[in-house]
Amino acid sequence: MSGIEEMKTIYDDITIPKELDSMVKNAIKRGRITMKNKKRNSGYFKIFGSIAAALLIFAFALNTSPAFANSVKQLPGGDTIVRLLTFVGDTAVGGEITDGQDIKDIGVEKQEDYETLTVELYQGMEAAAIAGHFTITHKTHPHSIEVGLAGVRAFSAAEDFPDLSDMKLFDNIYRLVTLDDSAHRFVVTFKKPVVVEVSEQENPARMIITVREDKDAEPLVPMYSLRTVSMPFGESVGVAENILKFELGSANARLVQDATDLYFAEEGLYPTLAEAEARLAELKQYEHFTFEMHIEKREPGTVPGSIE
Amino acid sequence: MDTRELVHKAQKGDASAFEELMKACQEKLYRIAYSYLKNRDDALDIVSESVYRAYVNLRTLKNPEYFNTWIIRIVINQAINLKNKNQKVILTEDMHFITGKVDRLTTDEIMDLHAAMDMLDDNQKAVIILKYFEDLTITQVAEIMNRPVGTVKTYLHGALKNLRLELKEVLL
Repeated sequence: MSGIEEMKTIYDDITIPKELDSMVKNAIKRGRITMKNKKRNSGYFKIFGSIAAALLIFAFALNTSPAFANSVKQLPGGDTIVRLLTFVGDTAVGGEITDGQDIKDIGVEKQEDYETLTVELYQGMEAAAIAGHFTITHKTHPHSIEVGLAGVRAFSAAEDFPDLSDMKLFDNIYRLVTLDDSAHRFVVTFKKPVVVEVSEQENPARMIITVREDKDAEPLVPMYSLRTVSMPFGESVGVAENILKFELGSANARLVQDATDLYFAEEGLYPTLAEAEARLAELKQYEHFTFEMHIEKREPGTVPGSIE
Repeated sequence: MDTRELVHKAQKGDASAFEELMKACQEKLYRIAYSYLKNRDDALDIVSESVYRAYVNLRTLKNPEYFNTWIIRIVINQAINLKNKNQKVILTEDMHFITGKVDRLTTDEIMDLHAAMDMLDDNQKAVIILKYFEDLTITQVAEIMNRPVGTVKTYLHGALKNLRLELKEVLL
C-alpha cells in the first residue's frame, strides 16, 4: 500500500462529531435571519430614504412600463421589488390574481420600536414570484387586522403559527373559517392600538406587515357587539357570517375568536345598546337566519368572552 | 432531486433545499476543515461559518453545478485563514479523534503521516485532499483552487515529491 492510500484511510476515519448536524442547521438559520434583514434593508429602507419625487417617478415607471420593471429586475439587488401599500380607509389591497398558492410560512420579528410579521407565499414547492390578491383590514374591539388571500389553496403556516409570547405588540394570530376553497384568512390581534404598514415584495413573494404603537390613538369607547354564541372552528360559524354578510347586508360582519379559542360571528358593533337592539329586531324578522344572537358590551382592548 | 435543482430552489430562498444540500456534503466539509486544522472545535467552527457564508452568498453562484466545488473552496479558504491566524501546534490529545478504526497503523505511524502532511504547503495539501481523499479530478481541483490546471499539476508533483521524501522512512 502506498503512503497516500494509508493517508486516505486516516482521512476517511476522521470522526464526525455529533454536533455537526445541529451546527450546520444553526448556521443556516443564522443565514436566513441575515438574508431577511438584508432584503429589508436593501429594498424597503433605501426606498424610504430616497426623495419622494424620485420614488414617485420610479413607482410610476415600474407600474406602467413592463419593460422598465424587467430592466429593474436585471439590476443587482433589483430582483426584489418592494411596494409600500396605502390604506384607503381601513383597507389595503395588494398582490395579483393568481391561483394555487400556499401561505407557507409566517414569521415575526421584534425591533426596538416596531414589530414585523412576514407572510411567505409558495407556488407548489417553490416560493411564488408575486403574492396572490390580498386584502388587509384594520379592525377594533379588539385591535386587530384581518388578512384575506385569494387564489390560495393551502395554508401550511396555520399548522405552525409563530410564537408571539415575547412580542410587545402582537397578541395573537388565528385562522378563520373561510367558506371558499380558493381563499384563506387569518386575524392578527394586538395588545395596543397600532399603526399598520403593509409592503409587498416580489421574488420571492412576501407580504410584510409592520406595526408600531399608535401613541396618538384616540381612546376608544366600549361598543355593543351583536353576535352569535361561541362555536368551534367549523362550517356553522362560517355559514352564520356568510348569511349576515351576503343576505342581511351586514357589511361589517366578521368572525372573531373568543378568550376560550372558540369562534363567533359578529353582525356589527354599535355605540349604544338601543342601536344594537334595533338591529337585532330586524334580524329576527328574517326567517332564514336561525342563529341565536346576543348583545355583548365590549371594552376596546379586551378579547371577547365566550357565550354558550 | 439533483444538486442543480436543489441549488436553484435554495437560491430562491428555500432553506429546506439548502439543508438537503448540506446534508449531502457536511461530513466531507468537516473532514477537509479538520485536515487543515487538526482540531475538532476549530473544524466545526469553520464548517459552520462556511455554511453561513454559502447561504448568504448563494445568489452570487452563477452555475449551480459548481455548488460543491464552490462550497469546498469557501471551507478551504476559511480553514487556511484560521490556521494562519493561530498557528497551532498539533497536540497529541487531538489524535484520538482520528485513530478510531485505523488499527493497521500504530499511533506512531499515524503521527508520522500527519507530520508528512504538515510538511506540505497549503496548496499542495489542498491538491492531496481533493484529488486523493475526495477523489476529484484535476479539473475540479483547479476550479476549487481557482488556478489553471497546469498550476495544479505543479502543486501535485511538488506534493508527491515532498510526501515521498517524508514517507520513505515510514512506509515506502
